[in-house]
Amino acid sequence: MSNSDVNISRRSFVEKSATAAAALTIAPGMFLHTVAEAKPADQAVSSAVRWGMLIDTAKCASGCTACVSACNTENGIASHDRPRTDQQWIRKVTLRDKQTKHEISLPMLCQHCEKPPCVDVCPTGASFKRDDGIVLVDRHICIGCRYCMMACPYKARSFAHETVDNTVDHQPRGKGTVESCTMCVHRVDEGGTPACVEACSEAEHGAMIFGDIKNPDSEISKQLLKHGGKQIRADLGLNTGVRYRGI
Amino acid sequence: MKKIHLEQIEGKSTGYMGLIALLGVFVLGAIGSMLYMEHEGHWVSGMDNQVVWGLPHVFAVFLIVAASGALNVASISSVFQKKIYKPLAPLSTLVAISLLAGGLMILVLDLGRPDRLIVAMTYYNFKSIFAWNMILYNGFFVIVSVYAWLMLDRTVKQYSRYAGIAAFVWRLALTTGTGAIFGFLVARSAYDMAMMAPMFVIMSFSFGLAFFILVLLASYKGTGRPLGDVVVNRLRSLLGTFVFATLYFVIVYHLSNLYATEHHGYEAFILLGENGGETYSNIFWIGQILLGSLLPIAMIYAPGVKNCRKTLAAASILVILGGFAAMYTIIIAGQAYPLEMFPGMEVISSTFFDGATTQYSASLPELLLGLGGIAVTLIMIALGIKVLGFLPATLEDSVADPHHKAE
Amino acid sequence: MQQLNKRMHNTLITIAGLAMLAFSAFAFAGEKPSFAPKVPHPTNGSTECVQPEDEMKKNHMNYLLHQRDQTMHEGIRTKTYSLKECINCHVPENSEVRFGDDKHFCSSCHNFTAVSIDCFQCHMDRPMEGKGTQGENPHSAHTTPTANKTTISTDVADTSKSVQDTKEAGNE
Ligand code: SF4
Ligand code: SF4
Repeated sequence: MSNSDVNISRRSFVEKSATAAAALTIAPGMFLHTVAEAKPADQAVSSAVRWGMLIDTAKCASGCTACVSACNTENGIASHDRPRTDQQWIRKVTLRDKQTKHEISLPMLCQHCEKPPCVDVCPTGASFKRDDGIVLVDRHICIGCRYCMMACPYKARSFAHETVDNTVDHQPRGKGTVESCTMCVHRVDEGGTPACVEACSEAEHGAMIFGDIKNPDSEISKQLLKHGGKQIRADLGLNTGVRYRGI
Repeated sequence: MKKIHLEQIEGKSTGYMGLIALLGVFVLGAIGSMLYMEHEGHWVSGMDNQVVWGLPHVFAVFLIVAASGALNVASISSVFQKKIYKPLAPLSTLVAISLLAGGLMILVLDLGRPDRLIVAMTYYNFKSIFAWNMILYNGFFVIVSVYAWLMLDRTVKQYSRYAGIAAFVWRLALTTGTGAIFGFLVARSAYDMAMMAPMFVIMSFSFGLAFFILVLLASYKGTGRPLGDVVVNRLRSLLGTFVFATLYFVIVYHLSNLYATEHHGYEAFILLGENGGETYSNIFWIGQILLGSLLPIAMIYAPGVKNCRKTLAAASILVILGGFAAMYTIIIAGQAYPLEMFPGMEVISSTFFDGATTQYSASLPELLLGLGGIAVTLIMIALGIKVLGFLPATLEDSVADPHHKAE
Repeated sequence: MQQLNKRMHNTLITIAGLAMLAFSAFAFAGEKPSFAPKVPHPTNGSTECVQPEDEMKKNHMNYLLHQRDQTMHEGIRTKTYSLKECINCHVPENSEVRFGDDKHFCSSCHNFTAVSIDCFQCHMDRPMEGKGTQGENPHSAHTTPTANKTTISTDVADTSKSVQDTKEAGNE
């Protein structure tokens, strides 16, 4: 990389226009590879993007917990051997169809709803949705009332029931506040992929795809177009950002 | 009709001092519990990621709901111009404010971050019914205090009726808002009902009145002031009506739930104790329905107990216990019943208790916190009647009801 | 609404800040009193903070608060005013010193002025392994030298403007 001012600004110019072009899809396909590139650090997230996930239950191996361990490592979540009060951002669930007896296995996590009930009920505004669709808890202003946990239809949130002493610097967490999947926002902002998705593909299951569902050229959008992707409890009309195949 | 004379109590007897001291111990217990739960984290309580609101919330919501109901007596006197309740109106405002303070104290002390109360008061999400409730609670304090002042201060007495009407409207909004906290939780089978808010209003009438009656009986007995049967019997039949109305609403609530197929699971859980709901079902039937509704109704309307204060006091206590059972069913059982996420599927395994009923058992700190809230309420009432003349010096029949003599 | 909230909050913070200022003006007036705490400097030879030392003493909380909200809500991840970078530069990696000890960079002053903060109930009070920048020039560690120049200067302009805003909001 060059050290001259000109080149730096050129680079960021190219980056910015690439993002813009990808968002506007002026030239479909042309900028495909640049989409995954990081937005400049000083640029705010934009609603031209909506991050989402597509999970294929047919590919999700029952008994595999690669995504769960990856999440725990990435975000410094440790168990205290108290399952009822331990925090879980992602969990594996095995389901059986009452009629057909067909069994499926899938990871459950915050569904990053477009109309998140957790955000609607939060008294302080600590639960909020970023412009790019990622739903987060601002733990600086969370008072720990747990109303959001009452409101979430997916049991996606956990309360920090005890002192957290193994935080990592990109994911500060602490006792007395509520937390849930952040879609690895610290990675996403730097052009990365959530740890669970990465782990799933490293385990060679490839059951999880992550990407921008507003960009028709992204892998996830193409897959969604081709195969569809169902929402859990679609009846609630929350338009979730995490979609499933085979439920 | 003799002039009603409001007078402070002396509040120097050993009984009074002992009462305050005893209540103080309970308050200390609550503070100790709070510090313990904050220090250790909430895992030491019975609450967890499944049942996130526990016994403290049962106490808190009960007290908040009862607060609005305790204002009934004042409302009936000023809004509906019923003279017989007039002397009791100031006491009714005091009880209402004290109940609300006790309830809010519990709510605040149970927060994960009670140290951030300032945040709760400076950051508002106006979409949140919870945030609106904070405004409603604060407004209630202000409006009811002003109302009490207008009634107690002779020079401004003529305005008290307007304050009374404002307080009446406000408290209806407050209880509606409290009910809506649950009514808005769309995903939970137990709460998915527009009836939640009106049910809370009607419940507030009976819980609040029962509490008020106990305070009235106790303070007149404690001070040895005369209290005639006319007033007491009025309150008795009012309580009967409210308990009836509450029972009716509860029945309608469950019947209409039975109409909706998606709620059948929850109804079987709470009514029949299926799916691990035995405890909750027992609390509902024995606590809320039998002890909290049917028995008090019998005790209120049974012939031969008309002037028996003890029966009335016992009935009021039962109504309050039934109120706690009702809150327990709504708040705890409503969360213990698993969220329905995958219709037509059964959960084979989950590390997060999907599809499983939670068996909640409250811990000692939670109980102490709840009792501390009640203690705060009672201390405020006890100090209130000592400092200001909330309590009529006499409520003899001849004073309370001029028509009585004619009878 | 969000704006309004921020306003109220900023006002509070400013009031708190002013109270602290008043105190520090008293504490540090005239010659340095002997009891004033010694703030540990980074050992990497860098002599300049992201703002002049006086400015940092007075206003670091405003910079941090501003950055906090931007990062949290808008995903802006510039490093100049991030708490993480303060720690990476001012606290040695693998340090045994924890927040609360008088020797910890933040505690050295906060203990002295008795201003309690809850940052480190969640945030790490020392650099994560491999992230500390003591011993190397901190600012070059973040970005390439030239990019460093651009980002930091725009950043400074932006933030000082908003710090200004905060003050105005406080004066309203
Ligand atoms: S899944 Fe739950 S926590 Fe996540 S956005 Fe939706 S309501 Fe909120
Ligand atoms: S627990 Fe925190 S995030 Fe959840 S509703 Fe309460 S304040 Fe908001």
